[in-house]
Amino acid sequence: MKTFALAGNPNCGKTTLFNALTGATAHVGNWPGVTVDKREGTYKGEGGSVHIIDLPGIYSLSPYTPEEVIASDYISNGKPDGIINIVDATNLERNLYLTTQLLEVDVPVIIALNMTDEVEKAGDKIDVKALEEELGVPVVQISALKKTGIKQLMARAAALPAERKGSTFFEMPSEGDMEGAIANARYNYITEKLSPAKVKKAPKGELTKSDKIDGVLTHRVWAIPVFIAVLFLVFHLTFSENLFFLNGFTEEMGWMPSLVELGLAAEADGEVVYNNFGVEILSVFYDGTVYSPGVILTNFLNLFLDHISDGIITLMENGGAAEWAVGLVGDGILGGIFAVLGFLPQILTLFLFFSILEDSGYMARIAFVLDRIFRRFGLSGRAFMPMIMGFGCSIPATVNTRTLADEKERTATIRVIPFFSCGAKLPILTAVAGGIVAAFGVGNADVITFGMYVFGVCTAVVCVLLMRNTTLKGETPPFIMELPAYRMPAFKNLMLHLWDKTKHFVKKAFTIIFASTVLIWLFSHVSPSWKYLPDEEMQNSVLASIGMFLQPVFTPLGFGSQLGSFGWVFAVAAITGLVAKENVIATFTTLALCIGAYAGNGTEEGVEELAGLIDVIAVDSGISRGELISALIAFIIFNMTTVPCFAACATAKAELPKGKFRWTLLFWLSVSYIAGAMVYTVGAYVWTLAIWVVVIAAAVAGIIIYNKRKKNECC
Amino acid sequence: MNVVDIVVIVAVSLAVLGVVGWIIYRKVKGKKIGCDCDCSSCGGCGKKK
Repeated sequence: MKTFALAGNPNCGKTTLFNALTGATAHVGNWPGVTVDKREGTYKGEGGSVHIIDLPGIYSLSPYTPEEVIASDYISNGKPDGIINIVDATNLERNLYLTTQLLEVDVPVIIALNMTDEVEKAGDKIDVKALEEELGVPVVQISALKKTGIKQLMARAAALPAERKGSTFFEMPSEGDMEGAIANARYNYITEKLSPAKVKKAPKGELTKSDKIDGVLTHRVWAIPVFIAVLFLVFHLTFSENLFFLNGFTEEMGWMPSLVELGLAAEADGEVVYNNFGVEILSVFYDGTVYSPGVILTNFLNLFLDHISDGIITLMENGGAAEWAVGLVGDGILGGIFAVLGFLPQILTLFLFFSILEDSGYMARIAFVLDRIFRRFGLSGRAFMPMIMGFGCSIPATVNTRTLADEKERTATIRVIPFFSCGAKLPILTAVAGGIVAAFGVGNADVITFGMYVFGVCTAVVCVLLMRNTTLKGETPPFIMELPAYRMPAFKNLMLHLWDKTKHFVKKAFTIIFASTVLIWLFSHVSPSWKYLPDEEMQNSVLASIGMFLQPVFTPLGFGSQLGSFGWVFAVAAITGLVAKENVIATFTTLALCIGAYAGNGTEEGVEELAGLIDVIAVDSGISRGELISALIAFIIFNMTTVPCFAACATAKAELPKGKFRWTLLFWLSVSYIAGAMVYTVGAYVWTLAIWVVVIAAAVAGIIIYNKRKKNECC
Repeated sequence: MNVVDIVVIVAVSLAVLGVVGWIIYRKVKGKKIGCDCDCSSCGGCGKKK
């Protein structure tokens, strides 16, 4: 079977073509460095199967960056049967630089001229025959995104001669700085002989559509406020229970009647009972306030899951199942899994918005804009890309730090990636924020959630500043990036990403979360002597004993001993979060259902939401409202910044330089503990702010003095 | 203990054993567990530098 390598610049569409050829659903992004390692697949065409290797995106074959080394090494030593050089037709001159280098190697080459549809849309034309004649190799027009021209490309690739002698297209300079002179000679050749093949409609110097949009989105003053506004809009459309604040900014300003006030539903035993199924469906969209798209989708799914859960429990009770069996299935398995699954719509909504921003080319601009700011903290704009990926999942984000050549910059970035709350942490933020609003009637859930994301970013910035001025000091490398043209994200690509994400989330829910909830339920219903304990005796269980043992550790953070006899739930939830962050909410729900049933919450079914558990704790512990709210916020922050899940830890250990992982673990534990303690103490006892200010000022002064002394010693 | 209880015990036990077996299988194959990606997009699952 023949082997062809795909080579080309970053963002030229190599991975899109790879997906089209092999059918794999590899991630397609707009940033350089998304593919950091070669991937392989098989193309099955009319002439038989062909082995395809997707090389990392490179601008040249000179061995400076890891990507260039991988690609150059493979082309020279891997002996592929041919190279398919993907050239971005919208950026011909820059892409042809690599082409001239590939043609000097003794390997058959075929050029795939990609995105020609965009060239034609702009009114420009490319003389393909002229390029073929000048370069001496086949040139085929394709659109990898629309999958046009691909069969012709592979047919002509299969017909390439078995061998080809490399050729140089310019005279080798004989004196001066050879590298610079050769590069100059290459560009002169491209400008004189190849660029004329592209006939432009717009006169040179005229601004393209992308340039005009960039005038606003990369503006020196407006770029950051626009980015913050875009992010806020994304979070608002995902989490808000008061779309566009149509029902006023505060509860006092609310004017929309609830379904109970409209006579379409009634309140009974603290629960809302809808007049009919139609009203229940209406409640998904509106109940005293208009919900955002993310919340609407969540409400739909929760309605569906509630009916399934009620149905199964009713079936079991009618079948004469024992109380423990109903508890295990209802509270343990269904309670835990469905609590986590309920967040899937919001995770997907957030992921969809971020994918749109990424695929459109906007995120690449933000990396460029933030470079100026990041540089003050010791990072380049290139570090922004893995950080933004961290909002999806820490694992690919950590792997993506391979694009950072500087080891210290890379270590600092890996350490702060978990502070950009991944999709798995979203249930914690949303559930606790929602619990605070429901239990205390303060604030908006989406504002609290957005605030927590911003807090995570600020914590990352402070930590990077600290690291780059102490243990990871070093020069910030330069950041050069090609800005791709703005383009409409492909609907199919977006849907493929969402489907991928859904599959893995559901798989995780029915495997790891399922096993965790069974174990949590089991250990919360057996005593140390392995005797079964009903819900009322849960305080004597193995799990409660472990939780009570750990509880004092979290006292400085507000969710320790001061939370009374039920505070151990927080300690257990934080520990189970190490397996998977979704476990935190699964644990809360499983235990809350049991606790509420015997804590006299007034309903037989027990506490169904975190708000109910908060109510129970507030009554049992007697702590003030301000203290409890501060403790809950501190709990969110602790879980946001602490050691991530085991899978993320394993990835970080693999990617960090030797010996750095244990310090990274210590870093995560310290930051989460200090941040949580700070938020709780300042929130509950405002006067402690003065102490924190003094401590931080002393630490900063110490670092400055230490750095000055070291500088003096060097000089 | 009636039939429903026995069915619950058997089903849950088999499911938990199945999950544990799957985790062990993934570990043996060198793949990540609980990874929120399909490894093809991670590019680094199970690979050492």
